[in-house]
Amino acid sequence: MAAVSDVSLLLAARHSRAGQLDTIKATIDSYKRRFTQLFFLVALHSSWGPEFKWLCNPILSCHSCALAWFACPIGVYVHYAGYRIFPFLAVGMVLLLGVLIGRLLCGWVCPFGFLQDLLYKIPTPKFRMPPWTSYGKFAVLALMVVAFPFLWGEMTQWSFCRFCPASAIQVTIPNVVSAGIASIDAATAVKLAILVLVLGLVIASSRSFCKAFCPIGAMLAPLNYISFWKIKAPTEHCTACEACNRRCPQGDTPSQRILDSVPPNRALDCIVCHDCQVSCPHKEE
Amino acid sequence: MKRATVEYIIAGTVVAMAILLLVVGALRTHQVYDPDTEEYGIQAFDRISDAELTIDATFSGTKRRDGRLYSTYDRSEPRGKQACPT
Repeated sequence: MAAVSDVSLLLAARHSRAGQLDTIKATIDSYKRRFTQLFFLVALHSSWGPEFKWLCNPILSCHSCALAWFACPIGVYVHYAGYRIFPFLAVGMVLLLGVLIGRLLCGWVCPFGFLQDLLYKIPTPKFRMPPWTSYGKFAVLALMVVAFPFLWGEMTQWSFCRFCPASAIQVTIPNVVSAGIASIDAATAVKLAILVLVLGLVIASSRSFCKAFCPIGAMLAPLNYISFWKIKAPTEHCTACEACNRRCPQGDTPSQRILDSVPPNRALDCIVCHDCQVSCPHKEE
Repeated sequence: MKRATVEYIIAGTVVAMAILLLVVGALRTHQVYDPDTEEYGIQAFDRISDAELTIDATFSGTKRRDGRLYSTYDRSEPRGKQACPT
């Protein structure tokens, strides 16, 4: 009788240890993306680092920032449009990364995406952007990155760089701090006002800037459909519980694609964050 | 044809296109004129690579005027870190 009770105690102890390990694994899974974002924020924005400004890294990080390692493809496209020269290197680099990993950089590396993720944690009333707003980023790319600089030159007041919220944080605010309030002109005031509006919007609606306005997202979004990077979802066990839809930071519906046996990252708005995979209750089956 | 096969064919084509763009970009050069230097009445120019023009684009180191690219800084001096005026 004593032996039976020992065995049951041993089994219970093993079971509880396995439960603890599962909890630790789940915690690591849920913070893996945050640690990665933090790592790249520090690693790619540091004065000790090398300068690879000839190389475009498709994340929203201003190359004018003294700490930036890479060139911003948007800033390069704006200037090339003004020069009326096709940016072979910049487009080639974005296409190559896009087809290899889709919008993975948006979800795991982009510092402005990281800021949006953090701001959305602030407890306020939340809302989801209507689906049609996701086409806004294509208009921003076509007009403010290509057409306006092409027509009026790279220094036009209507280029995306003049309104870029990442540039406002990385360059405009440090400049204003060092030069004083008196240095604020109309263009700077407009840029800062847009930054405030965007930050207000992302507090209330998750990743709304990525969804509606980001021109880098617009370039990478179509490549999500063909990228070699595929999120593996347990399609055969899906019970349409929609846990993935509730967790999706883009307010998308990955469950529909999982039910159709399509990788959930095959969507324009997907930032390949893998949250749908992590949140799936059947992922271990 | 299966969806995955079509995806691989299109992705492979895009990869080939991207590599072609990178190769063309690596081989291409641009004439950038020096607005202050003239030799025998002809404006002097430097021939720079697409990579150098990309670096120039990060701080408006080149501007376009009358269909030509002009340098906005002295290319003979060490450049250092520069901020973009936009």
